[in-house]
Amino acid sequence: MQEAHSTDSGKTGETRATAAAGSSAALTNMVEATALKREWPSGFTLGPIDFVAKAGETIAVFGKNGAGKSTFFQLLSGSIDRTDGDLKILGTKMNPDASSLRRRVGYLPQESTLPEWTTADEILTYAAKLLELPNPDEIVEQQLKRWDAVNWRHRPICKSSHGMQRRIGLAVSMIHDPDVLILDEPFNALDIVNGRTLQQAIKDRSVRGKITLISIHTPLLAAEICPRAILIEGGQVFELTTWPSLSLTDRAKLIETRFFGVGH
Amino acid sequence: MTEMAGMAEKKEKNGGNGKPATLLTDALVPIVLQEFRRLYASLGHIFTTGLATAVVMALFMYIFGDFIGEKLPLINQGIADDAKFYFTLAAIIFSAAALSRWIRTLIYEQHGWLYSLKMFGQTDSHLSYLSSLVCGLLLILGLTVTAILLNYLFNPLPPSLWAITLVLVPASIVYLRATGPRSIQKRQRAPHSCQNTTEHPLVSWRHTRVLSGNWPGANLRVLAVVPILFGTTSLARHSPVVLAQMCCLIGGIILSWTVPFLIAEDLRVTWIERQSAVNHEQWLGAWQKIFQQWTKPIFITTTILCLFSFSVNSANTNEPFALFTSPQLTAAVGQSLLAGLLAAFPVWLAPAFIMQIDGRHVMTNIVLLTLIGMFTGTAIIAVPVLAPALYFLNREAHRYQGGRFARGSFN
Repeated sequence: MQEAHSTDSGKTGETRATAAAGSSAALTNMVEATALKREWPSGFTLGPIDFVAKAGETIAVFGKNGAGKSTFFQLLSGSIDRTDGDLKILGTKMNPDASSLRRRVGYLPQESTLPEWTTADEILTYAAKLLELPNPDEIVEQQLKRWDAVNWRHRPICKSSHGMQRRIGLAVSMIHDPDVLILDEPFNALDIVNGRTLQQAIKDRSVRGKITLISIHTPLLAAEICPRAILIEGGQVFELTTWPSLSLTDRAKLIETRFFGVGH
Repeated sequence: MTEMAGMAEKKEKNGGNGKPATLLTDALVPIVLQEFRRLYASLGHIFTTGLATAVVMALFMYIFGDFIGEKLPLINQGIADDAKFYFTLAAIIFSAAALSRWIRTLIYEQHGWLYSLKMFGQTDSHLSYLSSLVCGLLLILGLTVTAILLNYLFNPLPPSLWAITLVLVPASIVYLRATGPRSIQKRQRAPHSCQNTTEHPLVSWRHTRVLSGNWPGANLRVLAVVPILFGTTSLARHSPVVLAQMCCLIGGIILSWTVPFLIAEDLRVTWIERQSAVNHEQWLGAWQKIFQQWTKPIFITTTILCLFSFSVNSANTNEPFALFTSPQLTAAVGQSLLAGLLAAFPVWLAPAFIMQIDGRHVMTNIVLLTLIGMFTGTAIIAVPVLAPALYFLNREAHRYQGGRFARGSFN
């Protein structure tokens, strides 16, 4: 694994993403990106990125709007193809046609619009059928219970609250218990109870050796649930190397310093 | 004391925010500015689409001008007049329906004008008055422009059509006022369940979720029947076959316009499918299957209608069953099959072109499908042996737009 250059590490403890990831050799590389690059016709380029995530890691992804987080997530989930470089998920090359591999990744986009006149029950059943899950009814029931949506299962989405719609979106992305889960702003619109349910679900995933990447704009929340953090800026991914060793408040301060400068 | 009571009354009238609201500055100006901003943001897109359409239309006329000029004079005056009348009537009714739909979206939908104005502190009486005023003005303006345009194209427009136009304005206003607020949600039917079908989930989901709730698509499907019925039945009145075939082509093109509406609606929520490992081929394949299911009945019905009209045509001659005993039968069957093909191929071909530019842009795709339908259809009418080329066109177009499912989605 190549050692990447340090950028302003004195202030914020950043290095290119691969550096810190190599610290735990016992874990398997479940996500491995090498010189991964995606160019858009608009001129925006993400990468080249070197990134490794190991089993059981929960990673906070920080970045301003338009920094390239969504592109990064779409690449990891196999929704779009890379322009250059290499991306392996669970040791297999990822691309949009690798159906069986993509079924081991879950992705909740920031704008997770749901069909208006469908119900939670129908959407989850549809997702279960697309993923060819065994016992779809049982799995749908479990998800509805987990996200406290049993009583609203037959209510049209357009008649449900924004928080309920977000919970259904979360249930869809986690229905197949993916090995790699990517959540873009998952806490938006969630109430305190369901926020806690999500935190617990993420912790459970980590214990079971599954990877979770979370885009998050609340430093303290990220500090609490993510032992590792990366920053996407200008189409590059940087590892926040000092993050794991800091206390919760210091982690939050690190992010404040990174975005607003020293003495903010 | 009186002054204070008056102020309190005024405050209450203005929604209780304490600020006097005027209709002009607090209501009309912001919404007009909002529409100008929207128009300005789309200016480049509109200009490019308009220019490209003009260039391609000019090219079409240059290529097929002679062919059309040779065939059109064959149509006798009676049928031509009937065609003009019914097409103009359909155009006026369609314009009224489209305008009403647009006004409903503009004014009554969530985040529409009424919503914005309520946020600005307008009273309910102001809002009611304003919605009537704007509905009326937009409808009068829209239908007048349509009628003037049609009058210019089909000079002179018959008085009965002017009368229908005039009746449609108050009828549309009454309809809009009666069904306006919250009507969008009420109007959409909750589709029936798709959970117990044996079809692939991607196809059954679209059958039950997208097709049944998409109103522009449903209206266009009905509208497409008009030219097909007119064209096929006109054969019974000794009209030239080319007229019937052109009508079938127009019907087919109108039917293909449903595809952009359906795809754009679908792309809003496709993250569920992308995160469930559905790729471009599978997603487009589901749509292709649905449109192929449409294609067969359209082809068969149009062909049978044409054959029926041919037989009626033959029955009106001195030898009622001459068609079935003469070599003309082969020609009649051939021409009927061609009419069926012209009605069916645009919607069959549409999925191959829908993601070429951007599946989210409905108007761009309507223009694209119209141009492709016109070019291909006219070429097939002129040289029917070109029909098998449709297969290769479909295959190559599919290949060219491969993998654009993710790029064309909203999330």
